[in-house]
Amino acid sequence: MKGTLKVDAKDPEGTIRGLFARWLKEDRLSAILTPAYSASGTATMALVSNPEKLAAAAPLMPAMGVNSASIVAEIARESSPNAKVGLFLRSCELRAVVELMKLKQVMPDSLVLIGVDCPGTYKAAGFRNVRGKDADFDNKHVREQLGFAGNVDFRMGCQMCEYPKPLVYDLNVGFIGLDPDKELWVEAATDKGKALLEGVEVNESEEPAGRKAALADLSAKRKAGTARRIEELDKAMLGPEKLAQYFSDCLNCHNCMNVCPVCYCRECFFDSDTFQRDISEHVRVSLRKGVTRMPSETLLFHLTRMNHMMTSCVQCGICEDSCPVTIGLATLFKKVSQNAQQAFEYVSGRSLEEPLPLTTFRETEFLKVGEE
Amino acid sequence: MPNDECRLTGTQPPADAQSTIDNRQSKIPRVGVFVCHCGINIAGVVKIPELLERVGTMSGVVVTKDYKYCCSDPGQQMIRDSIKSDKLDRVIVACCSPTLHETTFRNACGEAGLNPYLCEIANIREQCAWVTADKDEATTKACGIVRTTLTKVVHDQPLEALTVPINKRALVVGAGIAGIQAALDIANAGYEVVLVEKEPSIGGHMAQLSETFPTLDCSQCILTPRTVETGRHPKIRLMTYSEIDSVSGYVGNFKVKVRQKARYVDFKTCTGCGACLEKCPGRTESWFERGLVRGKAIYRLLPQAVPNRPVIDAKACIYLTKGKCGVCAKVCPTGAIRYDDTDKFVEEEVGAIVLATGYELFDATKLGSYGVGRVPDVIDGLAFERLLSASGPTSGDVKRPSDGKVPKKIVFVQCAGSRDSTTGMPYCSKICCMYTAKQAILYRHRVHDGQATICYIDVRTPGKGFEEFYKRATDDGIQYLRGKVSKIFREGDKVMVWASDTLAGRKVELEADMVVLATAVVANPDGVALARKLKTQIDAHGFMTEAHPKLRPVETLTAGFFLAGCGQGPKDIPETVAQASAAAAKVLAMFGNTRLTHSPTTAEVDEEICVGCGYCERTCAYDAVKVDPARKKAAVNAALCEGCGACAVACPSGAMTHKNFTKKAIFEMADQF
Repeated sequence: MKGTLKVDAKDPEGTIRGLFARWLKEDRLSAILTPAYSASGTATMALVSNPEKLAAAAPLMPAMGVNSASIVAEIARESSPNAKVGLFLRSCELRAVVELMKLKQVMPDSLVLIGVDCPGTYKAAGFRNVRGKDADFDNKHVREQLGFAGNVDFRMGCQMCEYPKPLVYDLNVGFIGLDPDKELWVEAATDKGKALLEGVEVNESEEPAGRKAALADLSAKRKAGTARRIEELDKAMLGPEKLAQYFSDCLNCHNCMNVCPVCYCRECFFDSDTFQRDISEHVRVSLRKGVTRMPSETLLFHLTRMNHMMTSCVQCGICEDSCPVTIGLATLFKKVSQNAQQAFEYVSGRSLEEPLPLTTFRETEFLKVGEE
Repeated sequence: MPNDECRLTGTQPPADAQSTIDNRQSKIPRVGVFVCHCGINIAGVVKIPELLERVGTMSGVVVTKDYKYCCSDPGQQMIRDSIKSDKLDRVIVACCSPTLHETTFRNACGEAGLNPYLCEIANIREQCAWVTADKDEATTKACGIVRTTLTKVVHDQPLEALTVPINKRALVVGAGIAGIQAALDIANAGYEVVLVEKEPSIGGHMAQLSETFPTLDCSQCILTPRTVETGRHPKIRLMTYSEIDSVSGYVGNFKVKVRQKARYVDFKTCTGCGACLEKCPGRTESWFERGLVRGKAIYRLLPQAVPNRPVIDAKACIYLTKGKCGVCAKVCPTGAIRYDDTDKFVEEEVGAIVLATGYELFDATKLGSYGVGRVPDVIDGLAFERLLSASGPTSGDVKRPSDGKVPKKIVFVQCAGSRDSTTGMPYCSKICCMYTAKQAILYRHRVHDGQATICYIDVRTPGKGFEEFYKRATDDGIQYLRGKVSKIFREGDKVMVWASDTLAGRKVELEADMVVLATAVVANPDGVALARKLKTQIDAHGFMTEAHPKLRPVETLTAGFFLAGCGQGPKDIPETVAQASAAAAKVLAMFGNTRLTHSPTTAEVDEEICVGCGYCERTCAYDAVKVDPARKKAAVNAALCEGCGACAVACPSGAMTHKNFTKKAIFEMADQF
């Protein structure tokens, strides 16, 4: 089921809040995980269950502090058939949720995936200043559609995002390519999604050509920008020496790992005693080269993370936002994961059915490496 | 070159000093390193005295010794003596590949009271001496290999070999001559055998053949005594018209689910009188007769079928498809027809499995230019066997399919698909040279004025009596034409064959009444599917892979699975029978034990770290790892685990480790270079 949904009082965010209120009141959902403003006025997430308290919810907020798939992994690790939680999330967050489902870290049965178009977000840090005191900032942001592709203030991950519309959802709420002051685009892909639209006044129609074109145009511009960035990255990073230099500022704080939505281990291998060495071993290594960088094994940490994450990385770039020494992780992971996923004809978070590339085998893969 | 490894420790620490090598170990290890010369294999390239000197300075090494052949009795004795006299608690033997003598040296250590898993092999032959020309480089490399092995051996923990009980029953999959032979050998030794065959009766392709090369004895005559014996053997449980649905468990303790296909005939009530076969009006393609005649909906493959009971092909049966007819039920004197029959599942528990899934001939319609399918008088070798067979559709008279005329000229085409990389079958099908010679001879026996021409690439006769048989064919006036056939087509009632005569260097056009293609032997597609299901290795062409091409030719890399017959590669009847008996011998050798031992170097899970993502489960080729969905923890079935390490590599957090291959040890080993 798909069609347009009328927007009241030029307030698309308010209209979405209205949907939330209806779902909670009618007990179709027991709670909704949605973007919200923190007490100090920046981006956070909230789990809203009381329809009276929806004022805090900011479903169209253009800022992102965490990839909420991490939150979903925390709350939906075990299946609980009684709860029914709506996840109102952006494309990269839903893609990460899908990967986590495949990795058995998120149980799908108590969740309804509600996607929303996301043209790009600002970093949570500093967003207070971007927004100022403008109470209608979210709605204004979704109106400025022409500025989406070239906004250099967006998070680096967003500037390279090819999927402003979610790929897997029960229900999606869209506005790209429409006049969000007048109407929103809603699309139910599953029975769960259809159930949410029951009784909602949707003017059923085919997807407007303008929307398709706007999404394609945004995607194409982003791809072109990404290609340019990867070209620059290659100059800065290709080759063992340059690669080491690229990571030479790393503090070994492991923030990038901690915020990564698909980095799901309970205990990181790099925190295990495998890397605990006594002083004599450190000295032995140092003796060999004369000088070794400390903290040690930072490059190995990043290479291992790339190796472990490349097939599931959703390229959200939240790792770069959290890096205290601003290592260009977003572009790097974009390049690495894109290459790896292309090699396996896989797109992370595209489908729940597609098996994880490393768990399956096609007889035709990598023919060029071996005998053809 | 300075020795880094002794810079920190300086002199050799006394045996009871606190270790600086591994702070988790309270006692410094006492390692003995034994360097084997392997005649001149190693000593001719690696400078042994220098290697001993350098290794002697490495931390933890308390004794170094060398010997010309460490694997010899005195060599092993030297190691045993040194373990006792030098109070060694770790041993490294620097010698050939561990696949050759690891067991030898581990046993030697065990005999001297040292846990065998505290003995490691440093491969300085295959990985060093044989591949390095420069003596100094080779010596340095050997030194590095020993140093790396030393790093591992100090991390090694003593392990105890696992033992599992054996269920002394065998499953044989496929009842062609390979499966029959293996089943009879095992059953005659006194063990129960479950013999599963997908067709309604046993015998496989051998039951289709007319006479066999090079002796020209009748295939049926030599086969039927075996099929009859199999059918009535008290130790053989024969399950025909059945397929393997699933196999779980591990060597010695497999659980097999067999799907018994609906036969629509009650085998107990049926007497095999054949009244139903006479009257059935339903018609279908006959697999057994290679499409030469239409078969009936209720059928048995041959008059000597074991078991001699018909089954109904549900797709061809008029009653089962349209609800009318029911003739067979009316004429059956014992009321054995069961139209409401369904597939049944039977569970069997066995300790060993022999895979004898056999071959099929390549679908020659895929060789477009050879006209198969378009020209009715182009048939494959098995179809020609049916024409020659006394129990075949023509009762042994050679008549061509199109008009039933006796062909006066037959062209036999060899390597139809085989030895051709463009068809994806670059291998030699092995049996075609001989069976084509046989078919040509038999044709000339039947049709005295018949002319047989054989187009060949090479004639290969490597077998007892084979060359003499080939000579007999050429002496009999059969024309051999060396060259590949490019095109076969119909002209009037003739079949035209374009070929090149590479000896005369010209193109030739042959006119024939009939053409017989020696199509390539391919692995039976059902066997390939089964191998995939069982996760046992197959090669690029679908043939099952043996554990070692020379020394373990009937075992697979999955413990408890054995191979016999053409499922492993093309072969003739004597070879098939020999291999089947070999597989049976392997099963019997296993059944001679009371318990099976299993290497303890298996994977293990740290449950504190495991989050149950299932990467390990999905990468395990042996079904040894399962994630408990409720607890979200992986668990390893050590009896199934072959210790390949794939799961430990796949596990991102390191929750999955491999006994005596800990990641810490591997990282430290890598660090040595």
